[in-house]
Amino acid sequence: MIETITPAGCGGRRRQLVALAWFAAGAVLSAATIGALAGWGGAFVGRPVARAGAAIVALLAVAGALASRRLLPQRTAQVPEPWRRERLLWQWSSGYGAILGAGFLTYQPLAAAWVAIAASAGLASPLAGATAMAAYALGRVAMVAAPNVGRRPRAGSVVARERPARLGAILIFVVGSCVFAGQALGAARPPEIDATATGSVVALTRIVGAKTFVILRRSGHPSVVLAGASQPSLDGPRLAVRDSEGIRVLDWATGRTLVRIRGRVTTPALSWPRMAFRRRAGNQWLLIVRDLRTRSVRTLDRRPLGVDLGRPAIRGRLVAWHVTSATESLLLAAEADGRVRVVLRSTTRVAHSPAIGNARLAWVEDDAACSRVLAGPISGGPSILVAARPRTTGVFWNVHLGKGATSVTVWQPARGTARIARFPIGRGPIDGCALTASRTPLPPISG
Amino acid sequence: MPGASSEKRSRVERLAVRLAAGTTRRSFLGRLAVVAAALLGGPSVARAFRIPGTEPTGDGYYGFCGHTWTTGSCPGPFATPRIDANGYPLRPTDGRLVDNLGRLIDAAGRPTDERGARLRGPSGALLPVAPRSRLCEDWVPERFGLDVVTQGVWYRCCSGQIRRLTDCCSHQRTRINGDVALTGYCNGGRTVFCVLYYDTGVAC
Repeated sequence: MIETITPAGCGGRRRQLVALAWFAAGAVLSAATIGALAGWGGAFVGRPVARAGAAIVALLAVAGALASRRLLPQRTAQVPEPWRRERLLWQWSSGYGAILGAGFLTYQPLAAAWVAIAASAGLASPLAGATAMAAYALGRVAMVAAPNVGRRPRAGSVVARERPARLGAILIFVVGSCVFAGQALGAARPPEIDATATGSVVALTRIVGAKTFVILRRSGHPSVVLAGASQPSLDGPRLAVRDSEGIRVLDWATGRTLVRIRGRVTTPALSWPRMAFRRRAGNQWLLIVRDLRTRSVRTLDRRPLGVDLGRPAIRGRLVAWHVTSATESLLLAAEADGRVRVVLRSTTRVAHSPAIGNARLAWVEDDAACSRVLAGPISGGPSILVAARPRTTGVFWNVHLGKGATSVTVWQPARGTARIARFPIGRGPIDGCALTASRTPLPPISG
Repeated sequence: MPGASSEKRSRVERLAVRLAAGTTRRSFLGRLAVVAAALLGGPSVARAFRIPGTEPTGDGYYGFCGHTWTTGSCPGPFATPRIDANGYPLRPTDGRLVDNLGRLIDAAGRPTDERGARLRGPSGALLPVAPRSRLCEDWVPERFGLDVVTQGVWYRCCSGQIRRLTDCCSHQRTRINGDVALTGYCNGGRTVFCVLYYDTGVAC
């Protein structure tokens, strides 16, 4: 019946456009609702179960198409034809859209609607499910809006006919295989952690077995690979890494070593000419900030080995770091020559891995249920939730604040994988871990 | 069919009594809000609104053994507020030591796997300690800004051993459920904010 959305069927070209608009609205709304419900269901049963279900539905669809049998529920009905005569234009066109957007309420040569719905469930997120199904509906709208794109009907030819089932089956199979192969490849990829960026240059640590590599990526150029290095920190043309001898600061474009600090030193954070790092001295960790030009050194913090004195972040004169013990978790900050300030103290949560960006401080905050990335102004004020996820799906490992975007390492202990995700500040996924209580505003950190 | 009708009526009455016994007006409205939120926002929103210790458990309890249908559990790494003799969290299923992230830990507080081996991070380095703090005296003040103390002990027999149940008491008029806190169980004019339990290991 959708072939009736034509100038002749609607009573003029203008009325056809109105009908098309209502059809699109109905289709998108209906499909998005079903997608949201499917995503909700997927989140309820859990992503692994939902994805397994989606795979089964896709296989049934392929098998059904190949065998020309109905292995999935199939309605033989079409949209109600009398509506077009009995109802107003907006009513029947939006109604047709709602029915066709849902996908499974009318006859379909292929079970593509069920695959789309199952895939939406596999996304395990109402918003993602709604978006996916809305895209599916837009595809159906496009078929109505431009039914003859790419083919020129000849007089007396068949305008619509059933597509060859095998072609559809192959299509579903190929798309499904690509999706699952992509997931498998993603799972098999070596862990990548510790993202750091300057402009369009990104450096990270790749872990292959017991070996580590620092990979420096530039768009349009081959990657720079430093074997045996880890914990990169980029600042313009300079890169600081940890290696077997200690810390090396190099010009990454030429590979020339600029500074070498030997000994039991780790976790460099570079903001030329200053560098913050940890040094092990006896039974203690020291947090040191050093001016690499004047060689002046200041010890900002010292803790026993059993306490986690975390990787520092530095920007200009400001240094931030975390300290986690069996009794409390602290986020601390200091100017290179100023006093140490407590930014955050908690006895129940773990705040760690601070990063300093343009006038912002970001950090990771873990509790038993969720891992979150928060950010707040360095000048003091309320913090915002950047991203969050249930710990069962992985934890945020560390964070880097770039221009307008945050790079976060997502570690999935159960799968043994780590990857770097990027998202705009304030627009990261929350995934069921919204803050249930307001947080104490950050105190002024610098100045 | 008067018999069937009266049986049906009595079933409805029983249901009404059950609902009334377990539900104050506020908590009923709260649950309605949870249902509405769950429908509108999905399971994540519903989870966020839950009151710890008020979910129906696998055993059919509404709370946990020895404490049902009333004040919710104190916040902690798990929904069930199992503590050791000093108020620190334990894994509810087996009483093993856990930190505030719910990870098993060794005697030094370092995270371990089920077999006691130290956990490692993505780089292969050993994971550091995390805080382990008392559910009443540390968690409640930080989460709710209350001055609290553990009082009001009573005992029940659960899973073949004596369970000591305690109240986390505050001067707050409302309890963790969001409705009126119970009086008469705490000292010094305090009321019950949330509850905890310690399995003594003494057979009963």
